[in-house]
Amino acid sequence: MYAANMYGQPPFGGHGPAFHPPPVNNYYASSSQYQQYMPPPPPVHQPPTLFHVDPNEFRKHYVANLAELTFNSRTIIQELSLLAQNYSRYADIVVSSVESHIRRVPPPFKLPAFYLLDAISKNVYDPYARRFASVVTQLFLDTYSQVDAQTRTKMDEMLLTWRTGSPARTELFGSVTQLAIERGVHAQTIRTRQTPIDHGQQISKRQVLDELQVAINQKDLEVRSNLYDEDAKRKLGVLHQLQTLIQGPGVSPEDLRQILGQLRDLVKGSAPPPPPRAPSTNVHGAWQQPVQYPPAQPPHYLRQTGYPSSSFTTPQPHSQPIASTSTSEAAVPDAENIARILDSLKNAGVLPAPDQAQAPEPLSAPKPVSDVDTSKITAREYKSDLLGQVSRLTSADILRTKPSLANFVYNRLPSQCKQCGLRFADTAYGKKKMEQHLDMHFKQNRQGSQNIGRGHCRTWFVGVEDWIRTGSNEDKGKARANPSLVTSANAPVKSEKELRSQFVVVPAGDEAKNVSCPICKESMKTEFLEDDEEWVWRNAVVKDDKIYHATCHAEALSSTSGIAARLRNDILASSRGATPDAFTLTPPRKSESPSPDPAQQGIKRKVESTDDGTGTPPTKKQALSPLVDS
Amino acid sequence: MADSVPPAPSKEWVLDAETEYRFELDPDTSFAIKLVRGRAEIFGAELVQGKKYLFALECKAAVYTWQGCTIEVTGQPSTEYVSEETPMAPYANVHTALEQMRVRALSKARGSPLPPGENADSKFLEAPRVLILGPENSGKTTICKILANYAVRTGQGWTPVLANVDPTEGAWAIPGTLSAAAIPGPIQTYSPANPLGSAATTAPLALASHSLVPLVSWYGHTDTKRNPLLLDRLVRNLGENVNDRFDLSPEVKASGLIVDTPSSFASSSSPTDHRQKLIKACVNSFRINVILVVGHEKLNVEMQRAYGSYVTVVKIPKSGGVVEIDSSYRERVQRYQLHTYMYGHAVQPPAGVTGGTLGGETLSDLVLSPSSTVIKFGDLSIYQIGTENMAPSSALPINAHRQVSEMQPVPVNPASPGSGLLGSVLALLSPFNPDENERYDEEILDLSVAGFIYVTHIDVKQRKMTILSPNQGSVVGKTALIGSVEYQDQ
Repeated sequence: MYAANMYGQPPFGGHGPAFHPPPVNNYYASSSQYQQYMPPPPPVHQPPTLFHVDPNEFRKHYVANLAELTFNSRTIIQELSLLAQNYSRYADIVVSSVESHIRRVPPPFKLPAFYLLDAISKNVYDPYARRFASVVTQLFLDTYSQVDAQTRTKMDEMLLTWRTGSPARTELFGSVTQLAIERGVHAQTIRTRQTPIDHGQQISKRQVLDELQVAINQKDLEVRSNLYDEDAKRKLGVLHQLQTLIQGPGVSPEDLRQILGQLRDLVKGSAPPPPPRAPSTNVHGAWQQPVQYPPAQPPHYLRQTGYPSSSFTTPQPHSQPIASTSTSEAAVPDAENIARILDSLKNAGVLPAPDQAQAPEPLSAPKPVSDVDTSKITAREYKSDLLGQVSRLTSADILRTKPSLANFVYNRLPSQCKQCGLRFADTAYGKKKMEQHLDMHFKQNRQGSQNIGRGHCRTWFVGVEDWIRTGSNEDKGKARANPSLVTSANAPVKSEKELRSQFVVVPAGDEAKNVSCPICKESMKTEFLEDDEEWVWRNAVVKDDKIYHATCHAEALSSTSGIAARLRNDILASSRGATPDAFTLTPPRKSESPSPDPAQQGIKRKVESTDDGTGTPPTKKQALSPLVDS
Repeated sequence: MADSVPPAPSKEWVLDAETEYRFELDPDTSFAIKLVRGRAEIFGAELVQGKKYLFALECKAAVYTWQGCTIEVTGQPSTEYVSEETPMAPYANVHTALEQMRVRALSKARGSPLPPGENADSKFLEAPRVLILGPENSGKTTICKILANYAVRTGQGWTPVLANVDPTEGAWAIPGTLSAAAIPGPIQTYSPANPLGSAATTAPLALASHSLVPLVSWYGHTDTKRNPLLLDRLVRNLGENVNDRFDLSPEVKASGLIVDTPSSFASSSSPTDHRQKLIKACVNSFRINVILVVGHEKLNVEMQRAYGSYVTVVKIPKSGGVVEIDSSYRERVQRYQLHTYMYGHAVQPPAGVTGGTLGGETLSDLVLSPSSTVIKFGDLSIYQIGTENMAPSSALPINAHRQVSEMQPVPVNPASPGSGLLGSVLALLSPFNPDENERYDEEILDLSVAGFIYVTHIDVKQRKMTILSPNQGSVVGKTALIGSVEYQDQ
C-alpha cells in the first residue's frame, strides 16, 4: 500500500492550517515537465504536526484543500488521501467533507473529487471504504445524473474497478452497494457489455443510444486528433445521424437489435484512440489530462492508485492506447458497417430520404434522456397532480370530499407484481423499477430454494444505533453493512473554545433570517468564512432541526445530567449524528426518575460488577449476529 | 382434521364498488380468499388476482374494493357479510392530505420548487407525524396499517415509520413491548399475531413487510397503568431514536411517522393525569403534527383544546366493521403472539385448498424452530424494574418516599423460590456501552431489546434453568429483564 514514503510527504508540512494552494498549473501545462517531477525524491520523513487534534480545524483544512481539487490533479489527490490516512480518526469528517464537496461543486469538478474518494477508499481502505459505503450509492447516482456523457464513461470505468477494489479483491464497498450502484446507473449497458445480445431480450432505445454515444465520443476524438481525416469526419456525421434517427419515433425493436449488433462490431473494431499529442509511452500523461480531453479512455490513475509508480506502465490491455496509424485501417470496416446499418434502415423504411441522410448534422449531439431525468419528471408530475387535489385535513372535509385515491394507487400504476401485488407505473422508469423489483423476488426465491430443508428461526432485533442507520441505507435489513459497529469512544471532551469554534453553514436564502438560540434566546451571529466562502453561524450546533448555541446546548446538558459522561455522550451525538448507546440527550430532557439515592447507586455498581464477573461484556456484534447457520 | 373430509365449501361473492366483505374466524379454523375478478385490498394491501390468501388464528378482517370485484372464499368463517357503509373514503382523504405533506416536505428538503399556486402554509410543509388515539375497539391499529399501506403503494419510495406504544399489542414482537419499524412494502393481514407485518427471520421471504427491522424496548407489562413512569421514559426514548433516524436522511424523514397508541390513552377509566402525561410524552417526543381521534367526540374536543394551537386535530369515523372483542380474546391473541415469536405460523389450510399463501408467503417459510437450552443461573444477569405489585407513587402519603423506586433495577435471584421466573418471559437486552465512561445509572432502562427468551424449567438444586430461545445464539453473559408477561407452552 502506498504510504508517506511512497509518494512523498505532501508539501503541507510547514504551512500550517492556512494552506497555500499547490503550484498545480505547472503540472497541468506540460506532461514532460511533470514526468521529471515525478516520482519525487524519497521524502525526509516528517510527521504532519500541523493540527493538534482539533476536528474543526481539521475539517476546515480539509475542506479548503478539497476546494483546490478542480481538475484531475494527482498531487492534490495524493495529498488529500494521505491526510485522510494520517487522520483516520477523523474519518467521519473526511467522508462528510468529500460527500458535501461532490454534492456542492458544479458537474465538471465532480469527477476529480470522485477520484479522491476512490483513492482514499482503495488505498487506506479501512475505515474509509466502510464509511463511504453508506453514502456512495446515492452520491454516485446523483452525480451520474448530472455529468456529461464523457464523465459518465469515466465513472463507469471507475465503478468497474470497484468490483475488485478491496485489498481482498472483492467489492470495494461491499457487494450490496456495488450492485445497487450498478443497477441504478447503467444496468443496461453493464449487462450488454458482459453478455452478447440476447435475442429474447428487449433492447431499449436508451441502451442503443448509450452505446452510440460512446462510439460518437471515440470518433469525435479521432477527428480532433487528426483534422484531415475526412473519413472519420464522415463517419462521425453518420453516427450522429443514426442517433437522431433512433431518437425519433418508429424504430422497431428488430432494427434496434440490428443496429446494436453492428455498432458493437464497429466499436470492437476500432480501439480507443490515443490521447492527442501525447507520446504513446507516456502513460503518466493520463494523470493530468484535462478532464475535457479523452473521452472513452479509462483514467489510468484508477488502476494505479495504491501501487508503486513502476506499475504505471502496465495498464489493462483494453485500455492500452494503440498507435494512431491504426485508425485509418480501422476506418474501412467502420464505413462498411455503417453503410450496412443505413441500408437496413432504408429497407425498413425508417430512413426518410437518401439525400437528407447525407446532410451534415450538427456536432452537438442531443443528450440522451437518462433514467434519473425521467424519474424526476415522473416525480414532478406526481407532485403537481397530487398537490392539485383538494384536500383539507379537517373532520368535516374528510367526510365530504370524494377520494381520489384509486386514481393514484391503481390507475396511475397499471403494472402489478404478480407475487406481492405492488404496482408500478407504465413509464420507462416505472418499468425499470419493476424489473428491479422482480429481480429482488427472483433472488429471494432462489435463496429460498437453496435453504430448503434447513429450519428457519427468528433473528435478534438490531440495536439502537444500527436501527437508526438502517434508514439511510436503502437495502433495509438485508445485508446491512453495519458501518456503525466500530465505536469510536475515545473522542475527547470538548473545551469551551472548541464548542465556540463549531459552526453551522447557513442554508442558502436564510442569510438574512434572524435565528435565535432556543435556550438563551439570543440571536445567532452570522459570519462569513473566507476559506469556505460560506455564511455560517458561529458557536452553533444543529439538533433536531433547531440551531442551538453550542455552548448553551452543552451547558443545558451538563446542568441536567450532572454526569460528565452524559455531556460527552451527547456531544458525540451531535457530532456524529448518533450515540453508541440508546441515550441521546436533548433539552428538553427525557423524564428523569426520582433522584438517585445511595441504595440505587449500590445497585448500579452491582450491575457493573455482575457484568465484570461474567467476563467482558458481550460485544454488539455477538448480540446481533444470528448464530444459527450450520 | 380427518383425511376423509370433503373439500371445504367455497362460494363466490360479488362486491360492488366501495363495499367490503367482512369475516371473522373461529379458533382453530383457517380460511382462504381468492380474488377472481377486479381489484381488492385488505386494509390497504392489494390482493393479486388468482392467488389464494389464507387466514388463521381467529383473524377478523375485511376485503375492500374501490372499483368492484368478485372473490371466492373457502372455509367456514363464524361471521361473514358485505357492508356498504365503510369509512374508507374519509381514510383515503386523510391519506391524500398526509401524502401532500410528504411531497411538500420532500420538496422542501430537496429545495425543489412547489407548483405555482401552492399554499405554502408552514404547518403543512412538514412530513406527517401522526398520532392515532381512540377508545378500545375503534380500529386504531387497522387505521395505522391502512395509512402506511397507502403510503408505500404510491410508488414514491416512501418508507414511513410505524411506531407502536401500545404494550397490550405485540406489533412486531410480543406483548409488553414498545417498538418502531420502517415499512417498506404493504403490510399483509392474515393473523392477529402479526398485526403490522412481521420482524425479520432467517427465512428469505417474498414480501418486504415480512422482514421488518424493528427497534424494540421492553416495558414488561400489558397494562399501561402498571408503571407509567417507565412507559413515559420508553416513549421518549423511542421518539428520540425515531428522530435521530430521521435526522440522518431527509428522504426517510419525508415519509413521516404513524404512532399507534393504547386504548387506555382514550379511556376515561384510567387516571386523567397519567393519560395526559403519556399523550403529551408522545406528542412531544415524536413531534406529532397530526392527531387523528377515532370516533370519540369528547376526546377530540379535549385534544383540540390541549394541542389545537400547534397540532392538526382531526376526528375520523370509526368503522362499523370493528368487532367488539372481549378480554379473553385479547388474552388469546397475546398467547398467539408469544407462540408466533418462537415458532412462527403453522397453518393448516382449509381442506381442498392447495397452494395457499399466508400473507403472500409460502407456508413452510413461516414455520420457525426455536432452540431450547439449559443455562446456569450465573450465565444471565436478570433484573426487574421496580418491585412487584407496587402502588404508584401518587398513591403514597404526601412526603412519603418509597424504599425502592418504580424505575430502579432490582436483581432477581433465580434460586429464590419467589423469583417468579418459571414461565416468565425475559427480554434479552442489547449490551451495555462498552466504554465505562459512557455508562450511567439506569442505563438498563434505555437499552433496546435483542430478543426474548422464555424460562421453561428451573432446577434450583443444580442451579440451572431451561430456556426457550428464538435462535441458537448464545445468551451467556447477557442481561435480561423480567416483566409480568408469562408464557405457557400449548
